[in-house]
Amino acid sequence: MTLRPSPVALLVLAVPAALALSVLVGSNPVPPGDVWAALTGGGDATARFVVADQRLPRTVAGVVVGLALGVSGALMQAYTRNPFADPGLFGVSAGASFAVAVAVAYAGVTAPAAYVWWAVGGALLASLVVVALGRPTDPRVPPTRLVLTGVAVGAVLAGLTTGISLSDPDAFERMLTWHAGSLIDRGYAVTLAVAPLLVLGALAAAATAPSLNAIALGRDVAQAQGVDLRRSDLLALAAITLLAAGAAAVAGPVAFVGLVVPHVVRWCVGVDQRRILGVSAVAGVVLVLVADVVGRVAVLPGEMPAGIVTAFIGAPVLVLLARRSRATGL
Amino acid sequence: MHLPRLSRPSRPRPSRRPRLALAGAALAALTLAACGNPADSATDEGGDDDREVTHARGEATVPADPQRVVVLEPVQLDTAVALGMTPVGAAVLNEAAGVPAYLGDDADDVQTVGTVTEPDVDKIAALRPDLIIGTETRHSALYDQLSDVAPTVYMASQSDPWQDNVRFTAAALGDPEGADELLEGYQERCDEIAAEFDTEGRTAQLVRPRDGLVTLYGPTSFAGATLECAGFTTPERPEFAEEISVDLSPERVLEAQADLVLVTTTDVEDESTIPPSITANAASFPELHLVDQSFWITGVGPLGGQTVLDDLERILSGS
Amino acid sequence: MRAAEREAPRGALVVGGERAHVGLDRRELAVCGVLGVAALVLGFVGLWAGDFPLTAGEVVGALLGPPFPVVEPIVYTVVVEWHLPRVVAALVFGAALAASGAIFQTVTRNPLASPDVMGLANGSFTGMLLALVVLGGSWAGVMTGALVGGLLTAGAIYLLALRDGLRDFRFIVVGIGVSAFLAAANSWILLRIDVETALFASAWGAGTLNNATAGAVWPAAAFLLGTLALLPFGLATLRQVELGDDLARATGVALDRHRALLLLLAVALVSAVTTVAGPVAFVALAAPQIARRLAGSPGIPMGASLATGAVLLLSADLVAQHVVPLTVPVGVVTVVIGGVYLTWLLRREMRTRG
Repeated sequence: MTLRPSPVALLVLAVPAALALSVLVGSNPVPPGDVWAALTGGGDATARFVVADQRLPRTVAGVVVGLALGVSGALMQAYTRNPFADPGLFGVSAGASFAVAVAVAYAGVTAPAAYVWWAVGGALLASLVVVALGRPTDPRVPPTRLVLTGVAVGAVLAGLTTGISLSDPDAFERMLTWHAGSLIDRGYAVTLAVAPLLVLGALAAAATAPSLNAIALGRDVAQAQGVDLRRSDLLALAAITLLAAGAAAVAGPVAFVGLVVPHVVRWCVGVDQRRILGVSAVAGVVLVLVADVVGRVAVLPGEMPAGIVTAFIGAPVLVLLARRSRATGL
Repeated sequence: MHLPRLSRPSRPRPSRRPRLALAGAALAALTLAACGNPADSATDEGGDDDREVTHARGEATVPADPQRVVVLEPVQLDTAVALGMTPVGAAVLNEAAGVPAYLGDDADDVQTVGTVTEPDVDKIAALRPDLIIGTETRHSALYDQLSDVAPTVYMASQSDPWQDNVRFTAAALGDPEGADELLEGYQERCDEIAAEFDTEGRTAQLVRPRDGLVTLYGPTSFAGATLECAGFTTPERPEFAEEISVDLSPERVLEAQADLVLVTTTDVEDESTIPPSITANAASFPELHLVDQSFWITGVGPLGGQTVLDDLERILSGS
Repeated sequence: MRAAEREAPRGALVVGGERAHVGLDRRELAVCGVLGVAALVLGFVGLWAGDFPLTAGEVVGALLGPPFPVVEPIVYTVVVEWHLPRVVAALVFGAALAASGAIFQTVTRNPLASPDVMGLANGSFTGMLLALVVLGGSWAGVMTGALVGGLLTAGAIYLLALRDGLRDFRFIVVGIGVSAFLAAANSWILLRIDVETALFASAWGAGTLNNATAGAVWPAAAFLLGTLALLPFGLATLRQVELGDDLARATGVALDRHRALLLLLAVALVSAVTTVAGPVAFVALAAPQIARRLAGSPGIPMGASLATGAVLLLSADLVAQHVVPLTVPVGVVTVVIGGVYLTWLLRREMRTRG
């Protein structure tokens, strides 16, 4: 990585390009002129349906999900000082999946739009349990056990989710699609429902960001530098949980983005955590939007869920970078 | 409409016993079982009454007149119940729901022996069956175990044309003519509906919502075949040449249009189960009905087929 | 992650001495003893319990076998030909998974590392799904697919991560990448096939002993026991790996070669289990961590890990078969039991050590 500043510049330029692609490209081709007409309220009914009812809302959802995953992933890796930590690790993904499985199998919830409340509730509840059980009493201790507790509680919930869905074929099928993680048919209502969470999460992330660099040097060092560890931990945990829960509620548990984006970003931009946080947010948006667009045209006339495409695109990139760069841990 | 398979194992010799006697015997066996001591009817030293059945694993000698049958596949359960030879045990798709409700009261006494994907061999052995019917593509690993319990025959695959699987099951049960009767009855019912509602030349499309995507079922699917049997045509798509169904992006939902559009759901009263992409284009779907997926999708078999046709008749007379 | 290992009290790291000496300290021996008794008791329960009604006497009679032909043939079949292979499978598979997890965690020095995490499970599942889609559902095809898929994945990860020696860091990144790629491929295949086939595949994918029949279990168990017998030879090296790269190099271990051989051993163990039972989740990850806390040892105790894995998988299978009212694959229960227990251990550890 010799060109330090340029990847970031490219990334920033990529955002408007990804946004444009997301509105222009889809599984039902609409000529650019008609897209413009539909955006300005004209055009024929089909074009309006495709652009205004389908592509615009899911573009908004994609931006929100990418932003939330990028930021929460970067925070997670900084907070746990583990470069392989996923923002879903504190039980968020598993909690959301479990709640949706319960909703589908036992509560008779059938409309995917109604999943969002269950997903949010499950995610928040599960992460509260994880934090209550695993949070170190001494703030100078690194949160290794919190991560292990997250893994353990997450495993329990994932097991229960699998058990529920395997014993009910209908729930199984719904879980299969939801679990892949996608933006298909996500209307504004879904995104709006989680907007308050995401705003709160973003505020908490902004508030804790300044202390991250000190914490990255070690928790003892941070305390010596005057960082209020308890406050910054609380904010970091709140931000990670709220953002990851919001993303999971909108798109399902998209696992790969939150892990890989900050990881790769760190290789490109260096050790400044605030910089990692900001660039991860942008990179998350670009990855999710591009994956969604690719998913729309990859398997016509169907679609490939964005959660699957992100791994298909991101995994080879990750392996390639790991081989090329003098990549290191934190 | 239903494609005959190219290579079919030779049919076993049909038994000469009248069906009524069979049904009576099955009933007697059931009563016996209900009274408690399954061991009494367990080992039936058939000898002369044995038949040879050719199945996915080769040849098997089975009792001519099986009394305690365990089936591991929904289409086998449906067929057995339709033939009046209610099994003592059946593996089900959904253990919590148990034996599908559409099979009626006859099937109430059927014990569940695990799920179709994971049958419980202990439960099967405890029922002391004299015939077990399974499916090679699902229960391949269990063949030796099941054969230790009772003669076991395997259907090749649940994805073969369902009418072939009905014939196989009936043959395994020793009543191949029964299958012909059932399938003729199904065809007659189709013709009745086609004549009564003049479905000739009209199109029908079964749609299954799937997390935003919509899945269209083609003419080779169970529901699609039944709609075609009743005189409808499925709007043509190139994918249907090879696939039983095709997934559509919500952007292309208008391709699901037909004279009659049926959307599957678990709750036909709940209009919110119609995908938003279809609701947004309501004007393009004037004839839209919600149908119960428990038989439209999973009710494969002669009874399920009749239930689907009844439902179709209800929908057509309502509109 | 590494901090956790380094926080451990000093002094106990020199277990094992020079070579091929399986260093069991007294507490670990006691733990192994208790777990051994538990395995025996649970094993008898496994032979006896089931939906086929059996008396304890019938179980003993069937086990004693032909000289005592007091039991019906079907009872003999149920106890000796069905239940016994399943109990043996649970014990041996559990021990093998735990051993592979212990190797992975020691070599990568990451308590979250396990063959599950490294994509082997996903690779086996991909192989199984492809076999299911391309060859139909024959059991031989499924087993071959799983075996080939797992081995190819292990090979791919090794080759991709190999660049001027194995660095644990690159190894994990490559593992995560390959794992995520295969997981995505698996969910895509599951979405494309019909739901009942997907259900069958997913039950396998969760890890199930429902297909642990005599014909499959005896060869697999023989292979696994043979492979486990090689463990003591790898163990001395393992201890040195635990001390860290630099130290190990200083003590003269040809590090990369030994690591590769150890990982190969771990992969062989997991692959054999997965071939028969599918990717049983979490035993490999949790058993070494649970054993470490039971034995109160600073590193990962190999003997106690094996015993923990065996008891964990057997008890999970008993719960899956006899306690849960619905049919669930054993992998679902291992995850739940293992997870609850690990949570409890972590909680207790935190209260005692702060």
